[in-house]
Amino acid sequence: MKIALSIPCFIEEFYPEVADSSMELMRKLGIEFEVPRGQTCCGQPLANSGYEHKAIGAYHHYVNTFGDFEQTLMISGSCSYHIKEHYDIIEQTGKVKRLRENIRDLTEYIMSEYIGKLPKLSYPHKVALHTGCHSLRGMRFGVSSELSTPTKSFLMPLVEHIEDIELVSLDRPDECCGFGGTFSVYFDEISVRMGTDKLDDAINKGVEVLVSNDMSCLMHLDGIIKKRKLPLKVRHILQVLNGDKL
Amino acid sequence: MAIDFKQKSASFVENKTRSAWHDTALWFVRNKRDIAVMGVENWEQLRLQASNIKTHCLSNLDKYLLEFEENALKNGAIVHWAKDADEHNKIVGEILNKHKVKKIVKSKSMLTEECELNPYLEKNGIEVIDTDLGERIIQLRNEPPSHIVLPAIHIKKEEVSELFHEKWNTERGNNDPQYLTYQARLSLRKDFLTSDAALTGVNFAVAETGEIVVCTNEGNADLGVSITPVQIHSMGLEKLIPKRSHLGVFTRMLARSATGQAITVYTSHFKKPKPEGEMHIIIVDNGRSERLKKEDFWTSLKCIRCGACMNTCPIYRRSGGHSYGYTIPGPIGAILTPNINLEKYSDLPFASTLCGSCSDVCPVKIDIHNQLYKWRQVIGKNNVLPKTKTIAMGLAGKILEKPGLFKFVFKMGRIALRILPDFIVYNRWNNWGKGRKMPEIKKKKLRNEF
Amino acid sequence: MNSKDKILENIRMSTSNRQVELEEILSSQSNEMHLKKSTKNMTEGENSLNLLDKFKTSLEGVSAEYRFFSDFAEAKDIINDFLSGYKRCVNMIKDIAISGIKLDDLSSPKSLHPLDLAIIKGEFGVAENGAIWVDAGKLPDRTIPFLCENLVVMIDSNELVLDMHRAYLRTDTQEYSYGVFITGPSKTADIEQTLVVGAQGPKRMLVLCKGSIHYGQ
Repeated sequence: MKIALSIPCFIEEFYPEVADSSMELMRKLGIEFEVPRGQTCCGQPLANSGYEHKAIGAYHHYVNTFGDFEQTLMISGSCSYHIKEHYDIIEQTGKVKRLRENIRDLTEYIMSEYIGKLPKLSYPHKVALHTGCHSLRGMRFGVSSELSTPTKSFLMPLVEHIEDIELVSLDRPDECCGFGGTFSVYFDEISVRMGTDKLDDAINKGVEVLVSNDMSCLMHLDGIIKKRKLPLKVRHILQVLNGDKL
Repeated sequence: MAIDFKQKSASFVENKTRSAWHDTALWFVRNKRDIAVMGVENWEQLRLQASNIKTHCLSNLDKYLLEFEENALKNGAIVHWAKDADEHNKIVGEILNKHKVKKIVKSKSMLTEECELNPYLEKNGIEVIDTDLGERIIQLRNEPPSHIVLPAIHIKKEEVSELFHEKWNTERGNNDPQYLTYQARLSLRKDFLTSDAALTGVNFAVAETGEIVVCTNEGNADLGVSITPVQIHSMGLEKLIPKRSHLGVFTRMLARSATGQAITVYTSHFKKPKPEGEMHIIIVDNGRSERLKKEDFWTSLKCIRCGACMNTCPIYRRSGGHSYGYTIPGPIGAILTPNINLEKYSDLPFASTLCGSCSDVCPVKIDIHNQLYKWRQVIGKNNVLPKTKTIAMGLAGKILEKPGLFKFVFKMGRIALRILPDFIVYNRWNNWGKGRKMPEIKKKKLRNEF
Repeated sequence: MNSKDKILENIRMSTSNRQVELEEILSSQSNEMHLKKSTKNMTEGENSLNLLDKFKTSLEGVSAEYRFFSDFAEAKDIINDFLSGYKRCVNMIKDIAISGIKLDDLSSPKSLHPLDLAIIKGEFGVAENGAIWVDAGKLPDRTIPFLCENLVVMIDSNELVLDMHRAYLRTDTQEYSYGVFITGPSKTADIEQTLVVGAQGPKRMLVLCKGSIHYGQ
């Protein structure tokens, strides 16, 4: 099967180490993939700002880059959600349909398809998990706390592979971190407060590292951590699964 | 004037203690709701059913409105139709004039807030007393509600104590909620005993029987309606449900979603007027039938006004209801207001991270966060946003289409971030940098590996 | 064109391709579960003992007091125990020998005030939430259950239904002009989310349960 790896623009620019670890992990697991050249951005920042109609060019470019692959794996639950959910405004050609059907968040793909193959690891840290809201309530990986069925995080299988990890649950385990794309810039006061509250929740519980499948949430939270010099680190879950030391 | 959500929410959140208190109080209500909901077998199916009943009813609304009217008339009620707020207020005014009413007691009604009935009646020499405690508090403070179920959630008990002392000469400095509630009770009793008419909102109107259902906790609606000769019920036309048995679904959901109670203390079914009394029902449109036509937005009419989306919304909790500048704030307010005035309320659909918590908590399954997204597109296309933003977004769109240009821009940005001193990056124009560090630019470039 | 016609015309202009048929709603799972069950007599988890236990737990949760009685002399004692030294009272249950205000003498509902105690009949109770159906339209004055400071509602403890679905099936056959589910004394939490019992309506409520399975009735 021809698999493409899609690396979100901000990860390539700001967190290349996350992309590197992801690729390393994929190779370890024996997933063959390509990284198509000329990747830009799925267009979500424009669309979420009310300029979906100006993002159409970006949508077509994305489809042209990935539409010929049987499977596209993206290092982001949020971007892949955007493509699945909102690429309905362009003509639904075979390519577009295939892409929208077959795009998956890389973390979710590994968690569900390669769960047995994941190596045993050591990660002797106090960890709290944060699922991006688009993964949780948009893609329905896991069950959100609003629903009456038991709450579930799709990141939990992580624990089965790490004996010495200490998992801490937060008071508000699935409240939004406050990133929200351009929201974080338009309404920065509220955004920063939401992020600060999330971090305080973790720090009060003695958490050392906040682990998520969405680097965009972590980019926002890490910005607050660095600014306020808080005793907390953030890591993408794929970095943890790859065995990267903290 | 457009509502400046950014400025208002920023000033609310600036007072850390107070906004944290507000956030905690509402999160507590959300938690109570969770516990109440977990106790119901098949809650999710109940949501689906409630949503389906509303879909069915709203798709046959003309038929059910006529059925309702027919049955209400049979019951001896008087039915009025108001196309807008002005007509509604006029109808109320005429009823009160006919009976020479000088004072009226009201129970909670977001519709009359929407229609701005109180100032209209006061202008016409009629004294209006809001009898729900929260509503009474904000009425005395002369301000709008900040929440549809908990109208005074933004006010601290010390402030209530100060207010009651000033208005009613209660004991200064006594901040005990029980003491304060009893003082309000004493004052409101006098009002009930000296009023000549009562007005209530409507939670549900049953087409099959022509009865209306009002859900309250304080007993104020029942007391007002029973003790005065003239009763008026103002209802938005979307309050209709087809069958009486459907009340079983909605009364199980409303209070659980709203406050975490299994049911409100009073679930009152007003069907016929009291002997020698008059019962008026005013069916109000005020933009609702227009909204019904909008393919992307008509489901917002399913709303049963439980307020759960407010309690769960991380932005509402930290911004306060008044930041929204409308009677119905929070996520549901943000999808209702653009119908009323796109320009004035253009900030509100953006006041969300689109986290989707509102949609998951909604008992009638309104896809609130999707509608927020869709309103953003309407606003973007109608050029309601500032011109500068439109140009910037157009430019960004072009950049994302072209990988070469994309790389070039990122490279320029990288260099700029590296060479510009911190004070420029963190100046007041850079909203990201005020509360956060910029992400570090990595020297090692990933793409070079390929 | 009058407002009514204008509104209806506007409604008819909205697209009608969103149909969910009523039958579809009725056949959806939760409805099937609730309504089919209620047409039978009793189902699992729904025997009277379970219902009564549920009902009692619900009453506790809504700050209502409850007592059981086997004869009306006992009922009178319970009421006097519940509230002593009351002056003005309305008693709608003839079998309980408590004399009250003569309602025929009242010029308006307002002259009922002040009312220390009201004793009225409830038709049936709802186990899942502690609600009691009161046919307030049948009372000589509708104000009675809401104006009083203390409310006593007598019900037959065999007259219980499991939930609101069944409650509405039960009231379907009744003709009423004004019916209320009353669930405990009046309440508010409008000041800082602090629960205060006794808002505008009764401050206390006693549910007087006639007979019970515990009494072997």
